[in-house]
Amino acid sequence: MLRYAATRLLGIVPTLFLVITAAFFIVRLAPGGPFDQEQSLPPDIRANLEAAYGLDRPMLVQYGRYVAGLLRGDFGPSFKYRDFTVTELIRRGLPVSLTIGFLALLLAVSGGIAAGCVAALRRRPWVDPLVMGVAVIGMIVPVFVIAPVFQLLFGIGLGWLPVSGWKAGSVGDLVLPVVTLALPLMAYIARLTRGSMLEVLASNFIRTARAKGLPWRRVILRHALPPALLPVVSYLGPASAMVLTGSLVVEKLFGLPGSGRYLIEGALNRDYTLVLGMTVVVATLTLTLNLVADLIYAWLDPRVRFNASAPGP
Amino acid sequence: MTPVLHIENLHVRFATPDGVIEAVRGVDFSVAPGEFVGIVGESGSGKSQMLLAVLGLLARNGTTTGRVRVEGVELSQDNEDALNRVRGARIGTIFQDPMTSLTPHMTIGKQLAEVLEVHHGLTHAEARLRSIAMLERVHIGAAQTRIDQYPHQLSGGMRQRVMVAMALACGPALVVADEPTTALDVTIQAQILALFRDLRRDSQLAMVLITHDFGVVADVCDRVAVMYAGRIVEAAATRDIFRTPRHPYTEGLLAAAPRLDDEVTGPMRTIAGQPPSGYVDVPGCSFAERCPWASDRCRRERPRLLESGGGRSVACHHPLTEVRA
Amino acid sequence: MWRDAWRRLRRRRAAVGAIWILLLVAVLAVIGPSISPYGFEALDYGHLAQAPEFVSRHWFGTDDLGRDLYVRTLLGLRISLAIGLLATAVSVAIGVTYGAVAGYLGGRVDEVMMRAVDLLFALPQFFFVLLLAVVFDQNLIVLFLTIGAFGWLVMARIVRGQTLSLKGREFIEAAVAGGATTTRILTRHVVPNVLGPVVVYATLTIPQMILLESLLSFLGLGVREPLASLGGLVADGAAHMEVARWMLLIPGGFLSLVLLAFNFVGDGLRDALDPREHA
Repeated sequence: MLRYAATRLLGIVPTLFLVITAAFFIVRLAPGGPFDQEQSLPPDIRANLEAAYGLDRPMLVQYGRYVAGLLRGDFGPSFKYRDFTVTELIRRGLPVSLTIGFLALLLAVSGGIAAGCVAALRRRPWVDPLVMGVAVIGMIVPVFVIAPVFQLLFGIGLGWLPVSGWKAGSVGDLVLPVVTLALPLMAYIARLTRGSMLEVLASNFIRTARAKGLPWRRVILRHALPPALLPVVSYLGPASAMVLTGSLVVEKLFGLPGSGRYLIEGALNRDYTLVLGMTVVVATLTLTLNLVADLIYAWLDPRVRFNASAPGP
Repeated sequence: MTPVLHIENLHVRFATPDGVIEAVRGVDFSVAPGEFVGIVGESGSGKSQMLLAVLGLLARNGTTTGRVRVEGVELSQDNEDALNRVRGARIGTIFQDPMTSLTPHMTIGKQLAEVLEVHHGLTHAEARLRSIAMLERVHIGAAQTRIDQYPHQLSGGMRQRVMVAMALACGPALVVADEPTTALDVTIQAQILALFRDLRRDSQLAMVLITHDFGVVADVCDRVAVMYAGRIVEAAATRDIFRTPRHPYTEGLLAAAPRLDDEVTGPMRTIAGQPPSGYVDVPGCSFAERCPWASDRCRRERPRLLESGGGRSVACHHPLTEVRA
Repeated sequence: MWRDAWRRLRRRRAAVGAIWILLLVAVLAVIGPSISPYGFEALDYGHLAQAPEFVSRHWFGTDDLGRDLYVRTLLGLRISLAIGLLATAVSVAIGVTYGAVAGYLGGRVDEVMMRAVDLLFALPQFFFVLLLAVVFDQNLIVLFLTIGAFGWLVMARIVRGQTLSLKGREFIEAAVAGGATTTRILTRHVVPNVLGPVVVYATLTIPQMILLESLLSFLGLGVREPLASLGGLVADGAAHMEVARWMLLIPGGFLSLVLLAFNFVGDGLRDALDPREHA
């Protein structure tokens, strides 16, 4: 198990490198510079500015300096928020984003798996179509349509929950953003779980388990769920990417001071280093989460680990 | 003595988009304590569905009617709790395909132990000891090590033995085996059958062995019932069935099985035609269209299963009387 | 094979309904705006933020600046659909070519090509699209290309898989024996036979592309003012939903409808073409 983990960990490094390089060069090779949008700067002041930010050096040198900076944890200065470095900005926003993202993921996984199981078990004939119908809508209707609709419904219409804002430690503020963010994911996971459960429930070993007189709860929790969850675990990697993307919208809509908001504003303001820095962070997160998902998968399915075992006489 | 299993007028039907399939058409069947009974029939004869119906394991679109009594107690299909108390504890089951019948992500020890924990309330430690004993009873060597292994680390024959161990773990009154050796190669098959013969010496244990292979039946069973198109067409002691099969279908099955002392010339004997579809029930004898001795009466009037003394019964208007070689 | 598939498709009412809806929507998008007397930029000061009504011919109401929502929504629909279809076309073109070549040539070439795909797959797509949108200043063409550029990955994988299984079939061997060049084999034999899954996946890609573009527009990084795709309209609507909820609900509704419809059709097609589905 450990060996598997170590190999996978090493595998991330080149990909990460690729991402950083690609992102960097996309940004640098773009037409225009970061100061083009300023109200007309006298050329010598612009030249000074550029020198100060190291933009007058050859491209490869800039690249080298950037990577060196990364290794120190320094993402460079922000071009728009002059008094801050990108590192500081990211550090400000990340906790909020991570909290929301993590809670949403948790909700999506637990809710989705539960819903999928309920649909697969079909205790009543209307359960399955209902759950799947809601799932389809949750999956396909975009987050940025659902979020305002929820705000309209629960915030303004029914007045149950706050529409936006972020008061530290306020649970109410968390509800709508987390639910909205979790919804498409929960829907997809529900569908995955249901399909997978149905398949597993039809297998021979479930029949054996039932023939042993085991109560349904035990059959499902110990025999059916672990293999049924494998596709869900595989999906956790892409799922985290979805959460990261979705959090941008959610943060904007609910006025949350997360890193997503900085990213968007940075993008709108053409703050290259900020956008670059965020991309690198996101890529790292995505790759790490993918790795974690793969490790969980290997842990759940002994066959992946025991590749070399041969059956006895 | 109360029969271990008593089935009365069992019908099993499946609702499909194309109509209703009747897999079992009114079967009466009993197993006495300590008796080893074989049920022989081709695929589609309903033999497996009958077993699944008794255990309450039919597919969702299946319905069962008729009475089922286990050790004298009526067993209702709707009562999941009652079924669970019987399954595994009073009736042990061995399924056909050992490669897919064990849960792949649980060690065989855990799978064995859970029957004991659930039905007899044993602790983990107690269950583990019992499990090792069970593995040894079914002749699995190095049980101490094997018990912590996963199914994919065991061969087919070993997995089937684990199934047998699981079926026997709680000391049931009846073990039902659905084609237990069909998926195994011949040498392993012989080993499993030897295991069954071994179990036969325990006078408390009854077994129902479902198979399409008469050879298996000859080896292990006291009594045989032959099924065709959802009904039992003949039942008798094993020796009697082999020497004097009364029903033409039984005779055909026995003749179709090649024997070592058969002459090598000429084509092998088969039973011409196909078994009837599950959707339609003909008014007369289901076997009539394939039977060399069918008469008009056979096609009009369905023969009922009648006892003819000596523990024999046959459902035929013109039962055979010759003795086979 | 196609006739069978068509028959099976017609049985699924959800898919059939969805096709009708899409046709209706397409018609609306094309000729709808011409029915209304209003232009999409025209500011009607007499009817600011007005709810939908029949008399003033503002059938979908107006937005906070007095612009007619009917025209703007349908034009937004036009833009979203156009981008979706074009981006899908790009990804299909790239994906099919790439996948067919990789699958057919096999061996080392295949390995390398698919590794590249795996690598690109691992990248956080959205953020790169964001990056490119920022860097190239929301240029419409670049938008098309970058959105389409990430869509081809899955298509390539699917086509490669199909090609690999086709490779073993006799008619390919016959073509090779007959002296056909690789290109000819690819275009005449491979591609027509992978069309099934390609069509299915293309139908499912369209809503993905529309979604991606809408998301960008919603964030303000997509199509630029005064043009507006459905995403941008929804953003406007969200900002003003307290006073004019139709600004949110109508474009949002159309967007959701289109996305759902495409997905239903795609799912229906996928089931219809699945060889395991028998009558």
